[in-house]
Amino acid sequence: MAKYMLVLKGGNDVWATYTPEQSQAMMQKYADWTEEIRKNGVMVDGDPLEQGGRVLSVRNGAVVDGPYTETKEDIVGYYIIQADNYDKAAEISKGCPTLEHGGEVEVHAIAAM
Amino acid sequence: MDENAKNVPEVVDHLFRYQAGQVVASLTRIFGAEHLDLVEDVVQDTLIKALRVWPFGGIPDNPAGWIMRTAKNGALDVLRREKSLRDKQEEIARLPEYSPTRVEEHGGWNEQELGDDQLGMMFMCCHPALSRPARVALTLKTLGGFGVPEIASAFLVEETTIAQRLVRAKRTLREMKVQFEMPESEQLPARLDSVLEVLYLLFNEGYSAHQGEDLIRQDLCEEAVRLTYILARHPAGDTPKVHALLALMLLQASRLPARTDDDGEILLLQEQDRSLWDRSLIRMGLVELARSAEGDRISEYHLQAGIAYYHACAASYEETDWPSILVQYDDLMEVAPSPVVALNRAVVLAKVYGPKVGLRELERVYSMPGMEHYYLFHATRAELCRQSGDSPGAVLAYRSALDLATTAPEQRFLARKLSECEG
Repeated sequence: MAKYMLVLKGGNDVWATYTPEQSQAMMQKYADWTEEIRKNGVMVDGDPLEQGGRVLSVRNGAVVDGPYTETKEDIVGYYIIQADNYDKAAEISKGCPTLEHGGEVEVHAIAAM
Repeated sequence: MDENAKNVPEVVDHLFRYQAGQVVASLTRIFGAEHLDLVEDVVQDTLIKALRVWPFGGIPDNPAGWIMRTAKNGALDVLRREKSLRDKQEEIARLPEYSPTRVEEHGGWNEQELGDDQLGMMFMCCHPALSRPARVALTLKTLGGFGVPEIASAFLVEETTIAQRLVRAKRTLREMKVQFEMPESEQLPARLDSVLEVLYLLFNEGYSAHQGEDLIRQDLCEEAVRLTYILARHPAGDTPKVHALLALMLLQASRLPARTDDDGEILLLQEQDRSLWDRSLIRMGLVELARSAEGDRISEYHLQAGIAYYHACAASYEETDWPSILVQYDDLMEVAPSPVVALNRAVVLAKVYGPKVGLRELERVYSMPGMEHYYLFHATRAELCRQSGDSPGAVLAYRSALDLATTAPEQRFLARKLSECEG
């Protein structure tokens, strides 16, 4: 078993346009999906991130604070899951509801030390 | 990671609509009617935050409580920045904290307070200073959690029109310094009437949508019934008239499953499969009708509920008690006369005394305001012509009706009838 990090990007723009029923339905999908991967021991951890991170970089030898990250590509949160191999991890990720509202999932294997 | 989420696979029913509406009502009471905009904004932001955060952290044990607490803190942050907190501190401190051990169902509120807040909100949204369309829009927005696009599509007007209507309504409330509170007892009956009028409009708009592809807007009917139900259960709204309106809505709503066929086409009362009528709604309607039978004043809602009652109780169309329904219409013409009531009365008159009597009555009705351009007048005339053997008259009248009908199912229905007469 290896660990994988699923990085969820974008997909938050739609919420403001959703009707209450659409919001309710999408939340239910997340509840069902996370319940499933929790119950079968796939999910190890997960957290949401606050909106609007900042990019630090070095320019002319000095650390520059900013600019803000692009909202559209904001990383909204991550999950840590366990899976036999990369293909299995990707398969599990395909069930993530974020794909249904314009979000993306990046699947990264966590390197064993 | 929140371990609680394991035990809460089901998202609380209607969280994003009704619970949100309740939070808006409660926070508006606390922060004051003048901060309605702010309250709506923070509740909306809070719902979006829930959608961002819960997928990872899990749904809290008490989702409604989470929304209440988060929205309250959001509003406090804004007001602190604006330094406009003034004298609200004490009441804000009084707000209960929501722990997972408190009543789940209502997110930690006590039911009486919840009812008070929602009623206060209804009275505010249906304030007589506002135009009727504004009252309807504000009620749907703040109490029903309807978004501007939803309201616009329900009434087939531009979103900007609804948005402007809401802005103007809130400005009027601010300018009139309308407070979030129960009306004084001497004003209560008039203020209640204003609320009932809006709920009745809402239900009717849902029951027979005036335009567009959908003949019935079930969501509007449900919202009207839900709000009327809340009103009837509250001591301030526990009046015969409120129960009569609720009875009317429940009895009418019982027929909704049978009103259209599988293709969404209109089915007349005589064509409906009565086994599809919702018996539990009929039973609830009868209970409310019994509750409405108090006092010495009979309202138009009583009489309309009475008519719905005779239909609901008839085992078949043929067994309908038309003479009793006619009595209700006669009374309705006394209590709340209108051209539409007169038109419906003519139909019943034809049932009791034959189509010729009905047609004679229609000639009188035709001179009433609006009837000339009302498609149902012409459709009714067509049907009575057909029954009395006057096919050419029926064809002419169906053509007039078809020209005036605005919803697609109505147009198809009339076209079907017309071709039957022509063939």
